[in-house]
Amino acid sequence: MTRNRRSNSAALLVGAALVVTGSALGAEGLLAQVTAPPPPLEERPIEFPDFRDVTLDNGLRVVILPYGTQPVFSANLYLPGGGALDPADRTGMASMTASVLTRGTETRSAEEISAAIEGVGGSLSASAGQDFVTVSASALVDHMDVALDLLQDVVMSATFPEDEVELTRRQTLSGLQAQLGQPQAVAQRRFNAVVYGDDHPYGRAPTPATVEAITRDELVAFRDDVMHAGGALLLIAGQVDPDAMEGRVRELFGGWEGRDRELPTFVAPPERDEAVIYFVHRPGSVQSVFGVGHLGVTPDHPDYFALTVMNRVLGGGADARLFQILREERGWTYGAFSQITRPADIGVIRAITEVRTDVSDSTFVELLHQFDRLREEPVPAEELDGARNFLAGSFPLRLETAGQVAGQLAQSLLLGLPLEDVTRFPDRIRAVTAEDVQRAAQAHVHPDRAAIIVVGDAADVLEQLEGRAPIRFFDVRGEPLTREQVVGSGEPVVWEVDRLREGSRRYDLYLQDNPLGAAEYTLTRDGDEWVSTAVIQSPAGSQETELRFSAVDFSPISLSQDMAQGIQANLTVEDGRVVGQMSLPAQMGGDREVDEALAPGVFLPGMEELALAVADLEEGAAFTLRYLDVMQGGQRAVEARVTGREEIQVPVGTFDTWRVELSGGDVPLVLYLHAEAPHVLIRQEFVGQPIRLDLTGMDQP
Amino acid sequence: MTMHRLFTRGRVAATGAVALSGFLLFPAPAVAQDGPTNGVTGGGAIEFTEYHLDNGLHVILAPDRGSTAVAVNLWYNAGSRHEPPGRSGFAHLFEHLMFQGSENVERGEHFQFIERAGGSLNASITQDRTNYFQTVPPERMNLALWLESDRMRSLSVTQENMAREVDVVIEERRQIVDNSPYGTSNLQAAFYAVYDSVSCFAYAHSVIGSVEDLRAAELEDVQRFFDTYYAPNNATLTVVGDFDEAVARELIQEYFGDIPRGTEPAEVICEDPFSHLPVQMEVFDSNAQLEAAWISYGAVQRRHPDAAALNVLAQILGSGESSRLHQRLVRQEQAALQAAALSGLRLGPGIFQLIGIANQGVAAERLLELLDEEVERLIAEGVTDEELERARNQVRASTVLGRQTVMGRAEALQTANHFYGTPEAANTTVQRVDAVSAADVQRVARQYLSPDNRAVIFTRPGTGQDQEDDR
Repeated sequence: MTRNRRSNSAALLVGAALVVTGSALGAEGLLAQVTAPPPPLEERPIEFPDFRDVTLDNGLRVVILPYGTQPVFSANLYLPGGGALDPADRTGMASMTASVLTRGTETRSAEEISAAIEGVGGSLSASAGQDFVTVSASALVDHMDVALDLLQDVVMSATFPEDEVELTRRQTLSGLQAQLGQPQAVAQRRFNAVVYGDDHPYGRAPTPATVEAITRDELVAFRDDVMHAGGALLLIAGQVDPDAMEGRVRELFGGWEGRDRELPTFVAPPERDEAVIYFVHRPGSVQSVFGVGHLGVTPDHPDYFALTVMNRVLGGGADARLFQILREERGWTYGAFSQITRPADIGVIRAITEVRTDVSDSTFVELLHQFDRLREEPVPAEELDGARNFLAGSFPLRLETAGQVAGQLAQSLLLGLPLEDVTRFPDRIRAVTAEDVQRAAQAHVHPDRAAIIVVGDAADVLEQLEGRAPIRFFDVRGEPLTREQVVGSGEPVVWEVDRLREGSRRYDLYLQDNPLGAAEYTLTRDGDEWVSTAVIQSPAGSQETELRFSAVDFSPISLSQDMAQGIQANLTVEDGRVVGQMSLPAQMGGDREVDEALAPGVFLPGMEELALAVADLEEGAAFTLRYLDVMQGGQRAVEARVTGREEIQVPVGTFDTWRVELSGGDVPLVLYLHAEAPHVLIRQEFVGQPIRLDLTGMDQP
Repeated sequence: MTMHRLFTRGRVAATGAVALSGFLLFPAPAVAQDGPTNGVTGGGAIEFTEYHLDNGLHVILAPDRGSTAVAVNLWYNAGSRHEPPGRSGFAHLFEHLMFQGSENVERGEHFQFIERAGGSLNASITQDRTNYFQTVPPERMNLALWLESDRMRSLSVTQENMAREVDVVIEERRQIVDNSPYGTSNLQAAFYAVYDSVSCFAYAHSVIGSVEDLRAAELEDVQRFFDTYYAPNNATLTVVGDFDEAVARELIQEYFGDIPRGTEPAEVICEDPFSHLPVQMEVFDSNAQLEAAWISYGAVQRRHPDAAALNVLAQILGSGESSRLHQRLVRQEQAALQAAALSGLRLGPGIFQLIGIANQGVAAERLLELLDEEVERLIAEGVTDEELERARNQVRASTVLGRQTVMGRAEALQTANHFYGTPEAANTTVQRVDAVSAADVQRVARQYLSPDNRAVIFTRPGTGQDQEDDR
């Protein structure tokens, strides 16, 4: 068997000597080996399918698209408005309404709904995007009646049970907290906030405060406003008979109430006149996440096709400039892309990537340069052909399933675009020239006015970006920060260790109000040292800890910890270094020696809570607490933020507390600390979980 | 079944850890000719022809002028099961090497040619096979066929390519195993713990392989792997979609006909793979935030008569909100964030898995307790007619949905051929599932879901160094 080595000869010639078509082959014998990619076979014209389009008396627009080679069907109901209708102090309303919509109706519980739709192998869901609430049902055609009945039921008679509302709220809060740990999500939120501004609905997003504030009555009122037939679109696609389907739809939805629909009002977003860096400080980041761009165009803009080709060239895939340069050539990133969005109101143009921290400045320069390039130079023929051929050539691949076709049709109908934009998409793309692309770039791409969002650790990245553009600072929640808060005044934080008091506290661990474990903390004075001991019993085992730190300046002294599973830590701090031993079971690598630098102000684990106990707590106060990662070495950081006062009742009494949110650690937490110093822990909650730690006893002389 | 995909854009870190919600592995599906509705005739059935070239290449053609695309899909009977001790990860390494260029195609050009033609492509590997696939506009079927033939004939197996791709694969391993939550736990559950590493090394090691073996790879070994497994007699080419069958036959003969046949690969040995069970172990995972419990039971080959009943059992236990595990562990007890049941059957002996990710503050032991209770309850009480009906409908629906695309149909034919010996099995799978009775489900639960026949892994989060494993 021969395995020929790759040669450099002429692999790239298209239309090379050997042109192969079916008829060119002789009846006997083979042609010599084909050494170049064969030119295309004959193209078959693509027909965009016909569809029925009727509007019922109540204003419901019904589109029926018979299509597909398999007996599947889907029904999608689109209610215009979506998240853009959320009141500014109730962002998240549309999304929660959609989530609870399928969780109970007048005749069916949430369980009965899932059993019914899953029983036929179908699916039922509701969601809210920026511009629409969508309710979808799909199944094989022999079960379409079940799917349509359920769709009608949730749309017309959802009951919003209280417990389902609370479950959804918890899941939403949990999701928001998880987002704070996802730098890409943080970058996207900041980008939208900056580019659209506070007064435009696209610039707003749900926060824990708004989601906590939403009441069940408000959800029901929102549903009443949105869930009616006026101006809604029901799009049904699959192997369906249009007459029979239209009849069924009229039966199910003909009597649905319809009235004029209130649509969101969109104010003009702020205009930009300079490039600005919006730095989201995220201590401990090992990558910098970039989002660079600005407003784009409205969906009906005549330059849309030129911009689509431009976007493909810039960063529309792996075969595009951003990916090839930032990843393939430079090795800075795993992926770099660009996008042009097309919502109901004006969209954005942006480039996104995550890079190694140390190339943040080079990335800044390169991204803006690539924007510039589109304006300054026409796209070379090979790249332009590649982009156009991908976009036009892949068109038939997006018409394989009824669902795909329906999706394209929906976007066209909902945005009020001409149908030819879809049906003649390949022709429109092929008509775009290099001049068109350059002209569109000059009109719509403005690196000199871009918003440059960077999510990273200011300690590593800030100096790389200084002087390149004005810089504004934020934390991951979007709260503005001053430069001092980000880089510090250079002075180490002074902890008022004198505020501590001897004493012991006992806590119970609850899972949904059932006690599951207990903890006892004791603080005693030993000369110039404070000794904090903790004994914790939980389903994961038992843990004993002794922590020592200075009563003079709060500096860490030693940690001795005995956890379940045979893990022990014995560490002491000497001359700015932490030394000692970790005993670990064999499968964790066995015992290891510890000897590493411990920077000033970095705690041993367990001291963070005591730091908060002695801190100046007030609403809005924020602290970054850095501590040693005992298991892996190195530092970790948690952000503590005081959100306000709250009265909390626990077994041992009722207390006035400061509510503090802790993020950046393994698990997002909410702490309720005694309002008076020392701010002992009264209650600890695990965000999104029905778990808490409550104070059950306190001996404090 | 663990799948590794090659390209970042299509990359699914699908070691099973993330794909917990209904990642179900059906035998090659087909829909029975049930009562037609609206004039529909038996959804999911695929018409095809098949033949062999003189060099042994197996060809399956399913033309359909109603499609808007063409899928060109090539399965090589080369997977991690073919790797001997010391050579783990070779098949996956090879998947990478297949994109590094061949005689008439520069490195990276395969991808570029297909994309610039408007197509999409990727590759994936499991224990049992490697597949290379592209969906292209109909007029570019010849391009896809030509590219596949060029690399089958003349792949550039060079020291430089190999060294570079070893680095890439090691990085990939870091990303999906070391840096992802539950990566190591999943490897233990799917491979190391549940299979006897001496009598069934074929399935006892991971697809991604060990760093040690990858670093020790020699060019001659890689060349030999290629010569043995990447030969036409060890491959099946399937073409589905809008094409003319006569044109396809001519092109296939022209492009692939001159590639020499290879020697037949050795048989894979896997004997008594589960006799060392039961085992129980802990994995410490600094990337995980929640405890998890993984139970892997020894089961059967995919073509075994009990396979369909195990599939139905997995549906009833774990598919959807109305499934037993979701109702009990997630809704009622609020002990789990997610729970799943997977019937992971293979060419050789497969496994049946129950997996739960715990809610904060819940221990993995509690999940095991609840999972055991649900299994015992099912064994004692059986399943209801409603559950059986639901499982059948779920299988039929997902089968049919998967057949909407040309690639879905190509994969269905390939799967049927590889695991059942004939592509025609794609047209009988739903019948096999429909034939499963409630008594069958109860019986296979009793027979295979036994505490003596399992590996139990508990994941403990936030503590411990990353595991370096040497399998």
